[in-house]
Amino acid sequence: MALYENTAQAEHVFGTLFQILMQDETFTTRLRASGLTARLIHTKPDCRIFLSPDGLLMGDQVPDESSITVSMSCDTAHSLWMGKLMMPAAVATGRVRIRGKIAKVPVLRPAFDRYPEIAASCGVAS
Amino acid sequence: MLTIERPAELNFDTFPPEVQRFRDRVREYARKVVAPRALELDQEAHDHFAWDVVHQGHRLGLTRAVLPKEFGGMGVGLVGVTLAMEELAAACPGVALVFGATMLAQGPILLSGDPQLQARFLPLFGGDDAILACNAICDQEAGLDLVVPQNVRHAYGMTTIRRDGDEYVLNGHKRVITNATVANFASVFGTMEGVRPDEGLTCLIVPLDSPGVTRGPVADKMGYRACLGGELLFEDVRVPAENVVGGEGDGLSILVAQGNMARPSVAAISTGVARHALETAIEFCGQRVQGGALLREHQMTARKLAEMTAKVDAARLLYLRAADKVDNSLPPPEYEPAVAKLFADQVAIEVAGDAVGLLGSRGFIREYGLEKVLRDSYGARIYEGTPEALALAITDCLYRTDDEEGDDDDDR
Amino acid sequence: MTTTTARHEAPEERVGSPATARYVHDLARLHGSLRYGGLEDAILGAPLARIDGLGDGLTTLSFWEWQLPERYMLAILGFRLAQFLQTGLMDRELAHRLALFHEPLPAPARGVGTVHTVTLTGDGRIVGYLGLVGSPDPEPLPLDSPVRLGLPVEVAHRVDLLSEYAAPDRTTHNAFEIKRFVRDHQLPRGEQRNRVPWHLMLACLKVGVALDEIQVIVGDAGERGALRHLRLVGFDLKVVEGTTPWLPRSELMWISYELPVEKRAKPFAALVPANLPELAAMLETMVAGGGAGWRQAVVSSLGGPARMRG
Repeated sequence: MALYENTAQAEHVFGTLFQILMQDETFTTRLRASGLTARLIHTKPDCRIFLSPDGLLMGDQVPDESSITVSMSCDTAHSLWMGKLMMPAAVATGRVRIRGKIAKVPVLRPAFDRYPEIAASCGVAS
Repeated sequence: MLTIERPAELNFDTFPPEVQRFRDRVREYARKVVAPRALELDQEAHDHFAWDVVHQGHRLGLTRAVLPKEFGGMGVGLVGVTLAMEELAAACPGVALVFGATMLAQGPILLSGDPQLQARFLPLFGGDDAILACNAICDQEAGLDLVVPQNVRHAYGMTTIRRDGDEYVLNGHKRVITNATVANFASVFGTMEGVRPDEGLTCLIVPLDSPGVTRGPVADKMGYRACLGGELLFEDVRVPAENVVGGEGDGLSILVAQGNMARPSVAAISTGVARHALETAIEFCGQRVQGGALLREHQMTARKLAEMTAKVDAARLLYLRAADKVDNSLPPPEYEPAVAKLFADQVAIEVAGDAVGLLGSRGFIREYGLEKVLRDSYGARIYEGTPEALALAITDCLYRTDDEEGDDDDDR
Repeated sequence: MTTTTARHEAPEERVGSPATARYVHDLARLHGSLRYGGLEDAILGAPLARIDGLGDGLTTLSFWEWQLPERYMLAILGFRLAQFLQTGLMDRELAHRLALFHEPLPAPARGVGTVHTVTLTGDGRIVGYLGLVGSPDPEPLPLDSPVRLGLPVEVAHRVDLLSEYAAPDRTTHNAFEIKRFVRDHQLPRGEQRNRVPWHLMLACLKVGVALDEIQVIVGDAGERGALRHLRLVGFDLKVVEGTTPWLPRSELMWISYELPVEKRAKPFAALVPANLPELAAMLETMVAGGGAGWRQAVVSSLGGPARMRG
């Protein structure tokens, strides 16, 4: 059974998480310097997030194009952020798919530390 | 005013400046250093290795081409690497494979995403003297079974790995491993003791000066003689537990990803072999007069040259498409690299054979160099996926549904 | 500066986890296997000092940081890391956790910059290093200026080493800190190993001759290390006792200030001797002489206070 019940729950958790990331100066500086934009396409349930140096967009506001597109299910995202699944293994097994200039994927460290509490507060079982 | 937005142009003639510069430097090295020695290296003893040639290629960055910039990488992507491989192979595919095999061995370390593992091994390639590595997959009994993912469960007689405290212990016998004789370390694929290979396949990074490692005899090969295909014997070889790539049982996914990433480079090598044969034929047919006309003016010869040229151009476009896809996709795609290699490997054999035919007796005599190209042309159909293995991979892609493309957490 | 020309015991509690110990061992092996025969040719322009042909198979080069391509700068930083991790003077656990294989690349200098000195064997192995770090002040300031930026040793020891050397024609751009005076711990015991620190010291003197703007040197060192070498070559050192140095735990060298007090590096300062060219020439003659007693000759012929520069 999927860990996330609906899009609203997923948007709340992942949206909060990426807002934290967008407050990290190192991350946004790198994003700006590389001219990078990123779409995170979650499925089961659907949850779309767009990151750019100018900010974060979600749902219907997410454009159709970006420098990098990262696709995964919400369950896979949960395992990654909880540290139970390592990104290289996730990519090698196809649970995470990345399209675009993959050499420029930025650091996501600040959000890792906050995910467990954010997910728990929204009723996502670990 | 109506504004028409032009779609991005497909351009396979112009590359980013750093890629262009890298290719130009490798081309010069291939023409001035490698090509003049190619015949000599082919006719040397089968265990002869030209370190002087390799050191010069290393200084250009050929052992660091796929590495991230923090390890001295060239930042040219797989597109840049494949262009370089074609240039090298047009001079000598054996030399190309020395560097290709090193890059292949670096693959698992890169795919691991393990910063400590990367820090312990990848800086080795940053010195002024060449360091090489090798990728040890094939065992005495298990060969193709390890290249076709669905057959891995049938592989037997494999190198075994067992955990002992904070070490892993290896036992096994790898054969015809390019660079085994001269490598600093090996990416070794073995199976956890008592576990079926498809579930227990594991990759370890093994320094080849570890106690218990023996470098066995070098194979006396038909072609690619500038690189050495040797054996590696592991007798109770111990490596630290942190030398595992990913974790126990992650070897199969690493192997598949590694193969998909490498196939465009091999396709580029085959394209280089074919190009060498083609250029030799073009030059000869533009000078040789028979029947009162230049050979190229004879219709059957013209037809052959045209088909050879079209094949080489098509092979190049396919490997560039595959390399571009790998540069822009994770996990690396399966279809495009397999198609590129399947086509290019066959083109190399056909074009080399046609060229020998066009040159007549000169194509059959060693000193003219073309018989070497013909022998070399058969190499790529053996390593990194035979046509049979590639056909299975491609056909699998043809019938794969969209559901199977995406992830499916329920099955894991 | 912390020197490791004298052997320091690495406290047992600093070995860290077995995985960390293996990581340090692997880094030491890695950097010991790398060769940089092309380093000299890669230097832009002429080096500030060059010592070669002394019959010991060693070449020592000094150059400004900007003269060296980044690739070789990383090689030097890797050598430094490997040596200081082996001695326990850099935090092994931190290096392991951050997966470091070289000291972090310094930020581009806003002030004077750094002069690096490396000693290499004939086959390009880096076996010794010494750094001369210039003031971080973008513009020269009086040595007793309240707004001048401190040199690293002053910041770590929380001490002002320069004010007492203030003079009308002397600014912060005339003060340099000696840092990371180190030789390869894997060099086998013998003549070459003994000569490395003297190569570095001689190069330091030659740089002082080449750059006569260097009037004051500071640093921190142990009594059996660089303090001894500097006194021998004629520097009248003022050593400050009883400081309480501190670095944040994000800095690799924080751990060196946790050594027992008697083993800790002490901050020092000195004016550059006015007869530096003569001292450099004497030292070069002795080191070049080789033979059985060259080190005794150095000890007996040099040393003692000299007239100061500036």
